[in-house]
Amino acid sequence: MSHDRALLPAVLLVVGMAFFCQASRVASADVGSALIPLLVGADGVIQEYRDAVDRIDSGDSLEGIRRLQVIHERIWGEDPLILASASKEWRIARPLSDRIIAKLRDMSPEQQNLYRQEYQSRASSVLERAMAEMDPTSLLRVAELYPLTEVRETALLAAGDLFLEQDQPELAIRVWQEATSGFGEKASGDLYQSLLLRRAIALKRLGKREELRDLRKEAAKILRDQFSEFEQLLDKSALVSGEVDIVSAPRLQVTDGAIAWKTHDYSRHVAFSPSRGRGYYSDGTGAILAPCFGDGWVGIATSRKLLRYDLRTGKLISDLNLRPGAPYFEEQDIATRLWTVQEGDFILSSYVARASRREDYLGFDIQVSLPWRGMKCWDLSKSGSLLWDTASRNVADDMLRTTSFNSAPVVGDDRVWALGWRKSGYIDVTMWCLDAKTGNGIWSRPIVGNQVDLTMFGEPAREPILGSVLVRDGVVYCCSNLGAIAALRAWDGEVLWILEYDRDSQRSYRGRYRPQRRNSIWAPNPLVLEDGVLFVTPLDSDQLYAIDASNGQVKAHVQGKGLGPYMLGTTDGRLVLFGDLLTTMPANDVGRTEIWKQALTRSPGLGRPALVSDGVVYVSAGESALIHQGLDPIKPPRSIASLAPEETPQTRRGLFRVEESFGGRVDIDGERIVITNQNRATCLTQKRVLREEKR
Amino acid sequence: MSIKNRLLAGSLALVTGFASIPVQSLSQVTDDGPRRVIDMKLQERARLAVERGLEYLKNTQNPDGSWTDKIGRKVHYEYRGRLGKHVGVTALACIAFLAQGSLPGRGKYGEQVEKGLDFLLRNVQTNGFITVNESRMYSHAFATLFLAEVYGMTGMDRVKEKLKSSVGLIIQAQNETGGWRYQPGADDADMSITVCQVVALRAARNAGINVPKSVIDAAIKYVRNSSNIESGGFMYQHEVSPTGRVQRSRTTFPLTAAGITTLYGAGVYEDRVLDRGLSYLRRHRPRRYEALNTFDYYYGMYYATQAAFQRGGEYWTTWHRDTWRDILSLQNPDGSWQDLVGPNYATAMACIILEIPYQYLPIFER
Repeated sequence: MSHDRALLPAVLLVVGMAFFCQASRVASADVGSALIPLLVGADGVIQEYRDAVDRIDSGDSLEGIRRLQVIHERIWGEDPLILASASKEWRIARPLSDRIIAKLRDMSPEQQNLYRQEYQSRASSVLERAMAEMDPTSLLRVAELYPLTEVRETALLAAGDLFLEQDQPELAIRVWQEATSGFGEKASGDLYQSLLLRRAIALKRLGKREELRDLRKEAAKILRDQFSEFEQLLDKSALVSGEVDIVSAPRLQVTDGAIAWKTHDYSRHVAFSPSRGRGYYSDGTGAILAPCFGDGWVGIATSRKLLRYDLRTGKLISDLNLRPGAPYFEEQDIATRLWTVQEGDFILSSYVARASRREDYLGFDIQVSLPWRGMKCWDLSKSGSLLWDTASRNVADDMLRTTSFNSAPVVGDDRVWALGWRKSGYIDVTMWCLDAKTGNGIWSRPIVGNQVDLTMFGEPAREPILGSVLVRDGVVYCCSNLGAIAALRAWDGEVLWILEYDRDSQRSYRGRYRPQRRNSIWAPNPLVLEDGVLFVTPLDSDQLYAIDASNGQVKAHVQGKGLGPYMLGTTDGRLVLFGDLLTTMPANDVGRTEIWKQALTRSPGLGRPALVSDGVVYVSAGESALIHQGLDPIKPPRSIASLAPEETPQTRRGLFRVEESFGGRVDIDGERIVITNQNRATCLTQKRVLREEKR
Repeated sequence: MSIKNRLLAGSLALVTGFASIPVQSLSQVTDDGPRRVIDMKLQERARLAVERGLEYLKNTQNPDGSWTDKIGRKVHYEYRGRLGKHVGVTALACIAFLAQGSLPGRGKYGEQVEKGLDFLLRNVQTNGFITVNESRMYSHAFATLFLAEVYGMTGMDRVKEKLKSSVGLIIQAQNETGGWRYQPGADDADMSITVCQVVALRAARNAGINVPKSVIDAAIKYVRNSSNIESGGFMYQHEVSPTGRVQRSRTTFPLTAAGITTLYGAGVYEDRVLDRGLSYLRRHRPRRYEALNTFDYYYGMYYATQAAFQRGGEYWTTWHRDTWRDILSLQNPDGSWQDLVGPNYATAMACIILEIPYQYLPIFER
């Protein structure tokens, strides 16, 4: 017995060696066919599969189908590989479940009916359970397991919807594509149409602009008359529509206008001292304030109050409190920072929550008064009750509470996208997405950390003025004005691209600091997106950048000197810039061809003009009139309304009293034109309309 | 070296009996030569002073591990600021404990070091900047130096990642001149802050953290160019115009001391700049009574003592004798020292200066 035991290992070794040699020979003969079944360990299952397929092919359909389905249910999720005989030279392994589904679909219509009769009720009950679980993976399982039943479509649609709800739009798109695949003629039917909108929403969330554009074209062809409805639904879908914050060029409806109303003088609410100016636009007393237009009212934010006026009568409707936390603080760049934004029932504005004290040594700045601005949101449907305040002590998120928001955000679909900065050695710029109802952060993404000009004591010499935000087709574009422009996915803040550009040198070469008042080539302009090209005018650069919105590559850049400071937008395929001259250039070939420049002969006042479809509208300081200047150089500028001479505003600078020129920011809201400056707002309308209203 | 001598002296005292302390133990001859004599009595007084100073720091530590002093800036001859939890002073106080021989959680002041370390680690920002109450690159450099020393001696994982990010910030913040300024990302530089960063980088490199050679080289170039050949001192700022003309600013004792220490730290031991600089230090040594009314007495002495220690020989023995007498005489009855920044800062600095010969910290080794 003991002798036998001693022999046994030797015998096994010999047999094993013989077997191994044989196997090696087989493997070397056909590596693919020998190894793959061994690797996946699915030989037995594959035999069962072949047996079931043979039965179906030989006429024993019901038994074959039953056996096939048993295998399918047993292996689902494990997916053993099976060799495909697509090519004789290359052996390709595929999941067995794919082969089973393919076989079921290849069956004759009679056999398919047989399958449905056999499994329809069972599939329905499994679907019901999966629906109750609200688990997209279970729904996918149902769709995969019963591919010929009617539940498949329902399961895939529901799975896609759930994936979308769970912020997984990539998976949702893949599932919906699966729902439309393999149905040949059905692809252009009801199912396909209903999926068009779903896929468009998901693409919008993903920020895939190119694919969304293709899908829109496809939808336009398929839906025809219903396409406008499709567009409307898409715009109202889970993200802000493309219409938000677009610099559109409205048609000028006022040709012979008159002043409809003027507001009271609200300049006492504007904390601003031009003599102290260290900002970019301290001279621009006519430039000021960015109002917002609601349904029949205009909102104007000052330093202390957010004022709402009736657009028809100019009567004050409400004043919301913006009481600054640092009453001594004086604005340096009121053109930039006194903004208000409205969307639906929400109205937002920023306010100075705190400010550091100015400190100097023999007149040299040690530190300037640096404000920390919170953002407030009110609900107009509830009599303007305050919904939230980012600088409130109750805000639990430290980062959010200590972030300063000084550029206008974009509001849409209950979300607020805002650019904020925070000091951490550098000035860190972060894009925040907030819940518009609660003010809670949904996501935040750092964009850049950089410095503004520093005093000789190493403190920021001025408040960092962040750039504007644009949300279009599910993508948030922003310019930090601190050396970087970025595009992020609006849904979850994933960075699509960040472009760093060359900044102006902050100091001269001999280490001498620049004068206190620093001029920029550009005014704070909104971003303009036209035909896939993003136009940006960073405050800290002298260039106008044309950037490919899909990848962040610079397509062209133009020296801005002589073009700015205002980039008004695009109309009729041309980018319009306003400064000492009125300049237009083709939006698709910026700076290279066909630059038209027109002299502005009617002495424009300080302030941002408005772009209309065929020209610009600006205030003439010399004539105290509103001027329309067409883009066509042949047509001379014409006065469209006379502005009643206003008492000349005067301010003090040093020992001298300086006369400020007349001006203001021009905004167009339908058939009304509103001119806003730091003293008051003036509304003009067509004389005929005015007479009718008075009657 | 002096530690060994002190131990030797102690052993001899035990062997021979306390009544008969050998004369040599009071004025120990160093191995650098017969003329270079360290006054052991002075050394013993310094040890006791350090003990009292560290006790003072132990008692003034905040519950969160920080120390409070004036966070501010030099404005001409003034120091303006406000009291607050101070990153730089916390780091310096912890370095003083390390230089005594304690480590986080270990040694006589292990608990204090541990709490101080926790405070600093908590305040490492996501970009690597170590800052509280808007403290600046000075504080960041001292905090990084402390983290580097701790990591070098303990290898603590939780320190490593933060140290890497804080070193990363220093590297990123270096500007085209090769130097640094009060804030990261500034486009000019000054000698004082540059030296702090270089010392921190060197400590990190010694501890095994990757610091690109190009960064150190550019910084050393900046420091060398800051030397004023005429006076031998180092300038606060210098700027080279496109025409090649160097625009010079003031030279001071602390800056010169800092410059020499940096060059020694970079491995430069033989250079005309060093000889002239050391000569400048001897000529411009600050008076003892200036300590109370300035903000940079201890800062200058901190670097000057390191420079003298590295130089060794007679220069060191003379420096040691004079400096020790001055600093010991400035100690308050409660164990603290005082200057315009605050008692915690001055006490930490004074303790570190007196502990330099112990060579317990890698950065102070010869």
